[in-house]
Amino acid sequence: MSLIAHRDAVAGLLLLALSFFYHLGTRAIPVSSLSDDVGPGGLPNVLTAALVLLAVILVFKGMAQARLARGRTVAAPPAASDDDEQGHASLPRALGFVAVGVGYMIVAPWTGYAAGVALLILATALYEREKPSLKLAAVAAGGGIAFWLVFVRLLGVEQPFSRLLALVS
Amino acid sequence: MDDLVRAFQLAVSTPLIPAAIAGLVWGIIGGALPGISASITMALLLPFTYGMDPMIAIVLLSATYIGAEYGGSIPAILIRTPGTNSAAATVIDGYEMKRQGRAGEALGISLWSGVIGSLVGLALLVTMTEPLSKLALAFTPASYFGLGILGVSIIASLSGDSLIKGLAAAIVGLMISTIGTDPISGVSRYTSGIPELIGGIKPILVMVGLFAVSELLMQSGSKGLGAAATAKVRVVLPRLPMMRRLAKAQGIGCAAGTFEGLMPGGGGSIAAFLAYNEAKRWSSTPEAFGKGSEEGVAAPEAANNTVASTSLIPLLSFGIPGSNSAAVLLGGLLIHGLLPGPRLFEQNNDVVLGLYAGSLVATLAQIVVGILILPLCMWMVNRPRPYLAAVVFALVLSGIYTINSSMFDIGLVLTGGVIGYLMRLNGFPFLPAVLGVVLGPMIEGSYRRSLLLSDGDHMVFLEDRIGLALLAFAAIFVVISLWREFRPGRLSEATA
Repeated sequence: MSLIAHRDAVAGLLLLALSFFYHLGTRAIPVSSLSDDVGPGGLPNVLTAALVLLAVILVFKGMAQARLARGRTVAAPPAASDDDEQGHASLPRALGFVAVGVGYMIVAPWTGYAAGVALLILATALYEREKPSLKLAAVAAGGGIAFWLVFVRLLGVEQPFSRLLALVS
Repeated sequence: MDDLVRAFQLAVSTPLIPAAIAGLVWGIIGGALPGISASITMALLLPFTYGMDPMIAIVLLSATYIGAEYGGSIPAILIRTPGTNSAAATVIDGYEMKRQGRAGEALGISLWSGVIGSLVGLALLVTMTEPLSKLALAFTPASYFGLGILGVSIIASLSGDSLIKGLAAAIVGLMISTIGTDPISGVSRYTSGIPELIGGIKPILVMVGLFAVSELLMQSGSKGLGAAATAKVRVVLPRLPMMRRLAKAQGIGCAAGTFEGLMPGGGGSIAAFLAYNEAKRWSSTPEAFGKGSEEGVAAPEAANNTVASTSLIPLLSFGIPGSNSAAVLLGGLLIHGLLPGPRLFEQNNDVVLGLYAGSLVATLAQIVVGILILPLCMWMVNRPRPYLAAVVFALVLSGIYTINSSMFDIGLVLTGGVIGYLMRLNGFPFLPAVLGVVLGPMIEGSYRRSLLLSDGDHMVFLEDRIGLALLAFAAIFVVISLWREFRPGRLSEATA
C-alpha cells in the first residue's frame, strides 16, 4: 500500500476527529442577547462542515490511491512546504523532544532562568545524542549565564525568577 | 520628495541603521545554518520585537529576511548543503565552482547578485506598494470578506501539492482564530474556562510553533552535517567585466523573482529554479551550467533576493503574505497593531518609510557584512548539531516567555510544534494555516458586519462589485486547482 495513500486516509480521519471535538466546543458556546443573526457559532459551524467535507474527500482519495497503489512499489512522500527538509524524526522521538520543553516549563520557575536554561541546554543536547562530558556541562552552564546576561541584564526582558531563591531569601 | 527626506531623517535620528545591520547579521547567520530557513530565522526573532518601537521591529525583521537569503548560499556553495530552500538552486554551480577551487569567487557572485536582486526588488516595493494599496480604499466589509477568502484560497491552492490539504490547513487556522472572546457578542468560545485563552491565541505563537519548533522536532536525532570544516575561504567580489557578463543572468533572476514574489505562494525556491532554468536557456554558454557556471550562481541568487522584497508588495498593499517569511513579517506588524493596507501608509507612514530605508541600508551593508561575517558563519555551521539544537530551543522558549511572561504560552508553542510536525509528516502546508489564523478575525468580522448592514441579506456579497470579483477569482482558483488534483489519471500518477 502506498505510504502517501495511507497517510492521506489517516490524516482525513484525524481531521474528522478534530471536526467532532470542534463541533462539541461550538455547541458549548453560550447564547448571548447581544448576538447578531449569525452569532458566535455561525462561522464555526461553517468551518466544521467544510472540514468534514474535506476530511471525507481526503479519506476517499487515500483509499482510491491505496487501491491503485496495491502491487506497486512504495512512493516517497512529497515535499510539504517551502520549509521542508528531507528525512524526519519518528513521532515518539519528536514527543520526547517536546517533553524536554515541558521539563523546562516545570523546572525553570523553581530554579530561575539561568539555571533553567543551562538545564534545558544540557537535557536537549543529551537527548540529541551528545555524549555526557565536561565540555557539555561547561557549554550548558556558559549558555545559561550568557542567555541571562543578554536577555535579563542587557535587554531587560522578564524571565522566570527562582521560587527556591525567593523561599530562601 | 518629502518621503525621501523623511526616510533620511529616520535613518539618522533613530536606531534604524544599527537595527538593519543587526537584523542582517542575524539573518545571514540563521540562513547559513542548514535547516533554519529565512522564516524560521525571522520567527525566532519575532518574540523579542514585542517591546521594541514598531518601526525598529519591522526594520529588524525585514533586514533578517534579506540577510537570510544571502546566508543560505554560504553552505550551499561551501558544503553542498543549502542553508535555506531558496538556495537549493545555487548548490548546482556554486558547489561545482568550489570544487574547482573558486569558492571565494562563487560567494562573491552570490553576494553581488543578491545585492542587485535586493535593489531591484526594493525599487519595485517602493514604487508599486502604495498605489496598489489605494485600491483598498474602495473596499466595503463585503469586499474585505472577498479579499480574505481570495487570499486563503490562493495560498491554499498554490502552497502545497494538494488543494484539499491546503484548504484543510486554512480551515484549521481559521478554527484557531475563533478561540477566545467573540468580537461582536463578547461570549467566550473554546476556552474551556482557561483564562489565558480568553484573549485568543496570538498568531505569533502559531508561527513560532509551526515554523521553528516543528523543525526542531523533525530534525531531532539526525546526525546533521558531521565534520564539514572547510579550508579558509575569502569572498572575492566580481570585477567589472564579470559584472557585465552576469548582468543578463541577474536580469532574468530579477524578473523571475518579481513574478514569483507577486504571486502568493510562489516563494524564493521556485523563483530560484525558474531563474536558473531561464538563465541556462538564454545563456550563450548553456553547456557550462552544472559545471561551475558563474551565471548559474548569479541567476538564482538574484531571484531569491528579489523575492525578499517583492513578496512584501501584496503583504503591505492588501495584507496577503506571499511567502512564509512575509507571513512572519505580517506577524511583526500585527504585534504592534499595524494593519497592512492604505491606512498603514496614512497613519503609520514612518513605519513604511523606515522599512524602505532599513531595507536599503541592509542591502548596501550586505556587501561589507557578507564578507566580514563569513568566518563566523562557517564556525556556526560546523558546530555539532546537538549544541545548535539546544541553543535554538533555548532561544525559542526564552523568546516566547517574553511575550506575556507566561509558561502557558510555551505550552501552546510546544503544542503548535507537535501539530506542525504532524502536518509536515502528512504533507500539509503551513502557510494556509498561518494565513487562516491571521485573516480569521477579518473574514469573520467583515462577514458579520456585512450581514448586520444588510439586515442579514446574503445578496450583499453579490451586490458589492469588488467583493463579487474577488470571490469569483477565489472560485476560479479553487476550481482550477481541483481539476489539477482530480483530473483523470492524476490519482494513478500520484501513486506511481
